[in-house]
Amino acid sequence: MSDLQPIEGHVRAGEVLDPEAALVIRGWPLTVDGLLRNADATRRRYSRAGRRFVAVSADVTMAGWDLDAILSGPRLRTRRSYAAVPIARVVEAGFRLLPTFGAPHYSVVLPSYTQEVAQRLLEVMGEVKVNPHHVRREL
Amino acid sequence: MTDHDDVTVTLPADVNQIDETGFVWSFLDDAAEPDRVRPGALIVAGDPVEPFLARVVDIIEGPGGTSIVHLDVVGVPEDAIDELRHARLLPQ
Repeated sequence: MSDLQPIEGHVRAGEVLDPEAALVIRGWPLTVDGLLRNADATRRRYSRAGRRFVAVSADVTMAGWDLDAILSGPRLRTRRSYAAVPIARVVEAGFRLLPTFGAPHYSVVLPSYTQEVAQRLLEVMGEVKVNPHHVRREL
Repeated sequence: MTDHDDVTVTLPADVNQIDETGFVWSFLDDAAEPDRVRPGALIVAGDPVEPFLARVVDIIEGPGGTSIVHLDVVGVPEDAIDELRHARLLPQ
């Protein structure tokens, strides 16, 4: 536990978002197993307030980063599918959003590492959509 | 193209997950064949449903004696296949 990296050193300060307009965006994997694998890696590496940090990675729209910019970026343009939901819905469902590392990355903090919590987050993320910026060529 | 059940990624990774370097990262011990994951190598990472091509940037020490791999996302595997076919390094 002691050699986990504190996430506090990687939290951006002073970021204000419109909870109804800003979108939480996550590319595939959008499955319970996929979310739990992501959360497991995070908790194996980072701590928060001295405890394992259980969170899932996502991007959030903000100034300079609209939906198209995120979906066409170097990482998410490799995703055929994605989900997006206003941050207000995510917060209402009991998840906290932490601005971590470089924008537009956010950590969606899970209240516990369980299948039920991962399933709840998936349900909040809603419909899986086709990424119009996906780069895959049909062979 | 390929049935997902046939796909074996060299390094399981989540393209959504970055760290302070801005690169995607994953634990080396998640790789079935860690010897294939070395700085500079071009590998297939991600998951069998939506794998991605990535260049291994570096491998650093992680918590508890683990090793963390940083990945620079290059694109999708079909990009490389298409280019290799174009160069006639793969059958048309």
